[in-house]
Amino acid sequence: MIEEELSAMAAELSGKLSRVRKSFVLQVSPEKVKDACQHVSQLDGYYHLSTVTGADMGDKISVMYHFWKGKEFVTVEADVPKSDRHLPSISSELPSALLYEAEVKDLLGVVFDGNPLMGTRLLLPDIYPEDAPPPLTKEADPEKIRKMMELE
Amino acid sequence: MSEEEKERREVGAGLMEYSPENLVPFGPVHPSLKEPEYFKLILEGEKIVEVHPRIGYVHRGIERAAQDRTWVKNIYLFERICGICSFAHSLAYTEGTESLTEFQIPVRAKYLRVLIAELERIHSHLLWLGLVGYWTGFDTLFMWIWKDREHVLDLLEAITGNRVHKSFSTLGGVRKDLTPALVSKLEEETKFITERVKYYETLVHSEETLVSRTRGVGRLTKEIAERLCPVGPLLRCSGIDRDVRKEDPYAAYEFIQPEVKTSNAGDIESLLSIRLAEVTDSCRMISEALDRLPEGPVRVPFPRIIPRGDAFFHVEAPRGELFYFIRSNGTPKPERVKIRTPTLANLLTAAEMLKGRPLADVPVVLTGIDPCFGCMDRVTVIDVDKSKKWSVSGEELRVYGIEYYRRGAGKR
Amino acid sequence: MQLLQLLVFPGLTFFVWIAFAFEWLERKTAARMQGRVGPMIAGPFGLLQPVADFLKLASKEQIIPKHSEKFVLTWGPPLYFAAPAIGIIFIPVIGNESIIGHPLDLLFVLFVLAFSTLMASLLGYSAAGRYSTIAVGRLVVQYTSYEIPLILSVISPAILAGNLSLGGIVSAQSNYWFILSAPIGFAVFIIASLAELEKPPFDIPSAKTEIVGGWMTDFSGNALAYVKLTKNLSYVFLSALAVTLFLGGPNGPVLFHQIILQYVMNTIYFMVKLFSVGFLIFVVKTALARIRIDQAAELFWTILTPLSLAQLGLVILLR
Repeated sequence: MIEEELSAMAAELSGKLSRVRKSFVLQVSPEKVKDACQHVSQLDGYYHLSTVTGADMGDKISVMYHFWKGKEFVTVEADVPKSDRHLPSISSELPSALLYEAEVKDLLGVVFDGNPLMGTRLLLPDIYPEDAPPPLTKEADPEKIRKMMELE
Repeated sequence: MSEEEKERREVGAGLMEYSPENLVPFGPVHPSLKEPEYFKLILEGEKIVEVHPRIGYVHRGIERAAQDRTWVKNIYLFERICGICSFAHSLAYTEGTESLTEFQIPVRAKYLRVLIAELERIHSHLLWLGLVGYWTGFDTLFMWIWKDREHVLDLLEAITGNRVHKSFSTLGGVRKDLTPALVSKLEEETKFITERVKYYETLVHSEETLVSRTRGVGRLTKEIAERLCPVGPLLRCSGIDRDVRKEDPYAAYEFIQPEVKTSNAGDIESLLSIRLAEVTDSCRMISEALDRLPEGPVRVPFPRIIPRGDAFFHVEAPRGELFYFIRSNGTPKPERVKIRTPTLANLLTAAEMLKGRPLADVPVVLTGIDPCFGCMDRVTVIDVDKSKKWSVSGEELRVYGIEYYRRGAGKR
Repeated sequence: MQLLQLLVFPGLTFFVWIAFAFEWLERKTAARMQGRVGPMIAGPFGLLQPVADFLKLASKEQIIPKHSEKFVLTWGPPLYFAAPAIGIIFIPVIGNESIIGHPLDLLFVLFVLAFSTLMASLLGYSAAGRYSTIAVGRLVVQYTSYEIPLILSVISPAILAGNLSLGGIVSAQSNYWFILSAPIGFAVFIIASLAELEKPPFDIPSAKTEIVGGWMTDFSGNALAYVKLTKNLSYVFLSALAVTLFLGGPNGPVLFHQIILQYVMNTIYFMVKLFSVGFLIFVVKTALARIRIDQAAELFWTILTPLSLAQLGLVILLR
């Protein structure tokens, strides 16, 4: 049932649907994230956004939106290239994503356009240098960042 | 712009604008917060207009640190995210990791995991309940409940060997088994707790001053809850009956089912009754688990290398849905572990519930979500302390301390 | 001789020691009710703990906030202390007359009560902190709520005695205590005293989980020690006032012809009543949670004011 709906959605958004054990992963391109999330959240009972995850996968950052109902998760996944870390924010449609997006921005440097919290820091301390790589990326070397902080 | 859209925008839009004259700081250090966290409250007289959270005062860089540790070592790391629901973290991590493999965990171990998880829920809910007494200026309730909570902590110590960081769940099962003496002690204590909770249930609905501080305070509607996605008792007090234990059973919850209590009131009083009902229910589940506890081993050997794959796993921690995303790349270390603790999910809802309330309601509402800031802030790598090295030994600290005071004395 | 009486017994020193004893009793009562043990190290049964706390706090450094009004912050605490210290010497302890009795001293005592709240709000404002500013707002709202029931309940014994002096009211109670004909007045007086003393359920201006230390947030060291002592002294002052107005003051069941013995017995009677009233307040305060400021105002205006008015009418009819 849900699988059919999701595969129809995947076809419409030219995405790719795959199954990970009892969960579904819907891979879409970055500009279609907003549509995909909105569609998924309007499925019956899938309004609960569990969280937004970011993971550094080398040359790209994959951002995942996990929706939960019953025994399944439906995950919308988009890969953001490291050279251009921008994604449309879904917070105007799904306000629960506000803080999750701000967390991903703080830790991986992905800017969600349209999120009102992008101008400030939610988690990182104020003394974290602006030009240092975000702490959860693979380039972030704790020793180097310490040096940058001591120069200030 | 339609009316609905306007309202949608308001949830986040006002978050950054405020006038400094009306700002009242609530934290980072405040008598009603047990952990450092900062909330900017914008007031009009006594009325709250805006709440801006600034989290991150207890960052320890745990998600990053997990990438450099082996799968087994990470159990002990994640357990240290939170002192109150430490078992929920290790449970979510171990079950999530186990779901990546084909290994079957002994059924007895699953039952024992449920047992400890429910004991932890009792102690966490009692802790919160006592704190409600403290926040409303009712110190007597606080003292009484915390005294009863000691019984649960003693039980946890007797079973797992530790009061706080229990390290009970491990990859492939649990570390210790129950002895017959412990079983009878457990039965006795759960009876005691059930009786005390019955008394508290009448107390929180009949003590006039307490009722006047909790009834009608908060008002979380189903619509707001569906939009802001809170979890746990906060979600259930708005009338949505979602409980991970029931909907997506893990460990032995498919055999021992919880009764999910909901309420439509959405205020602090209904949160009180939901949490108290959950304590009673946990007591029932513990005695049920003890009755049906199967024989057998409690642990099987587990490989050091986890096959490649993603796991989305969540458990019902005392505060609500605790989400773990685990990505393995087929090495002895995880590629990425993302943790979303219940408090982060509930924070926005608490801020929403506070709008329009008087200042006196801040401690009750803000902490009504049972916040655990240590859980919420865990991700940053950089330590604010500017000492020369990453790890400072005791000797260096001593030298640093002497140096510090010598400098201080010289200035004077 | 009168100066010695004023300063030592039954004057200031005597009441300051009672204030310390009150704090000990308060802490011990609360602790026993909450399943704890309370102070037990300093002195027998921890009796000297409040004294030790006072001395320690008084010997600490006082930090004066940068933006505060330094003059008020320095000289305010002694003035604040003076309010109950002066009021309390009008209370008759050893006989029907206090040391410096006056035909209109009830009015002066009421003025002292108002002055003490005024000083508290002045001190809170001069500290210029955000928490203390909010606390003073709450303090003033609370004051305007409880002041009228408090004064109305004080008028009842004055009418019954036909006298505006504390000594006169005590003498009029030699046959029966006014609590018998003005029980509601006594109850209202105790509730209003809880509000005046900022004790639960009316500890709204000093609610620590909301506004940290209330109007005392920015006080430290010596000043804080005196502010705390003043609060304890106000405790004694209000309990003593309740004893004087409603419980017959130092009057007792047995009369003695020897004057010294009579003095001693009067003092004992007075102390027993004083500690009973104090104990009553401690028990009530430990058993209740804090209410909100709007709820407090509602309680005083809609319930206690009409009640005390009804009591007043009843007393006028009785007379």
